[in-house]
Amino acid sequence: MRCRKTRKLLGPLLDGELSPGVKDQVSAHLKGCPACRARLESIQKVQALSSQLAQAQPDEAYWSTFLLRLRSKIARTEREPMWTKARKAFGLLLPPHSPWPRLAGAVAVAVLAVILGRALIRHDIQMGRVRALPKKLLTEQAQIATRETPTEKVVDLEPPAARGGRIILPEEQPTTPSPPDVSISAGEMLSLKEEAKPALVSPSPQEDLLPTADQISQPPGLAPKAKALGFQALDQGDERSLSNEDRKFPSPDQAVDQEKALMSMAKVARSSEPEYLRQQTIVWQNSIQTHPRGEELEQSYFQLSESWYQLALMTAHRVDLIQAVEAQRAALDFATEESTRSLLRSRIQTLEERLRKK
Amino acid sequence: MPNASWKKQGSHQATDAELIREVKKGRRECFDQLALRHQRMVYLITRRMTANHQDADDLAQETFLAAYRAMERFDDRQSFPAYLSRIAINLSINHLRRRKRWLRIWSERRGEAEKASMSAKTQGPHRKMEQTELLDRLERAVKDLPPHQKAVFILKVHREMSYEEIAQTLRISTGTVMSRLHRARNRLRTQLKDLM
Repeated sequence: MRCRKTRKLLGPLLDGELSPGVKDQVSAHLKGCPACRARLESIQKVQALSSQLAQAQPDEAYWSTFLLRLRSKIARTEREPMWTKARKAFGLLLPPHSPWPRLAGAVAVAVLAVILGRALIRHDIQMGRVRALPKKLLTEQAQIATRETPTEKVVDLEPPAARGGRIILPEEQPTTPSPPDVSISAGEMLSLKEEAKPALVSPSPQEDLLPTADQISQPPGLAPKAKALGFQALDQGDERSLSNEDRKFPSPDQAVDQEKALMSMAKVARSSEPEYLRQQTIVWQNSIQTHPRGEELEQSYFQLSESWYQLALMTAHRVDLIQAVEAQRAALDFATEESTRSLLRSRIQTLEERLRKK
Repeated sequence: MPNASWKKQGSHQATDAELIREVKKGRRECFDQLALRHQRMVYLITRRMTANHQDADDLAQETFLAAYRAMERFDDRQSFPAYLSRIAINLSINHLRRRKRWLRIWSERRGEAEKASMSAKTQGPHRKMEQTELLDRLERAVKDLPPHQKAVFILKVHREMSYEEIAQTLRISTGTVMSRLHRARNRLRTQLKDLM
């Protein structure tokens, strides 16, 4: 028998676990091998010392309480509800006196705080961005108003409905509060613009001075006159529509008489569309400031971006294009549907291309 | 009447199997007898496995609690001490694994805390038997053994079980018992070489 094999059997030899035949072989090897004998002795010493370790026991005071503590533990286990047992089972996965449960709780609270904080900051940024839009716009408008006079555009006779406007019955009332329709009459549009301008173009830095949705939706003395005329311009995004029966275009007999009036109305309506769209942006801005949630907020941002987009394409002013891009981005942040998001992205591209050309 | 029959048997030393049968019938106090009978053995195993009195005490209590909970399923033809030893060793191994994971992160703090607790205990009543340097070194060496080697070593040295009994208790083969014990002894011998 070789040393390597013998050394593996020294332990079993000491423990009396070897069969007589193997024991004889090992004993024979040990007689002629001092190294293996030395190893056997060292193992014997370790074994003897280990036996002494086994005598280390707590004192009797400890044993007198052991059973009492065990009894109370058993009794407690039999009483304790399921959730306590579950918590204890979870605790077994952790080291004794572990700081992990508390640490995990603290981390969870911190993560929640960060998520909420970011959401609030994001909302505030969006709100701040949107709040800034009308101010910038109004300042720009004031500058434009002072340095240039609006030039008359070529009047076309295209019915307002084809351009996104429509003709409604004088009796028809808007069914939803937003976006409020701004009814305008042919004769009074220009004078109205003059009346509305001071309020709209006031470059006040204070938000309180901004026109509210109510002020815009119901300009004094405007609605009754517009209703009397039966003409109302609506934005293209308005989903409300009238059935054909409800549409009442001027009759052919009256067409000649009313042609001039229609031409004038169309001209005024067209020239007033940027104004109307500006009002729309303020309306949607006010709508956002009422702190809507979920879909309402998303819808408001989308409508705001829609108004800005149309306005920017119409006016082609650099400042409008910039504001429109901003509005698209704000809406993109809140848009959930992929179709809406891709629409907004394509609009941003279009607007940015126009900006580059400027 | 089962109670009366047990009392009759109680006049002599009731065997583990008899006590277990009574516990199964609902006599919880019989479990006290079993606990009193085997508490030192269980504590010895957990103490050797953890090398820490507080952990050993917790694990010994947990061992009896686990045995009590599983008493309905216990086959009384088995050896109850072997059953308790298996529970104690498994709980200790789980405990050591958790502690090892924990040590990986909090090694420095834990090391300091253990040093402090060990030095405090050295002066306490529980450590009166462990004064010499050799024994201290051996104790540290046993403590540092891998859990599975330690379990086999403890059952052999402190419980004086045969290889076959160890194999049955830990549900491993006799060959595995032999190789684990060989490695454990070699390791201890190497660590105490300079003192022997």
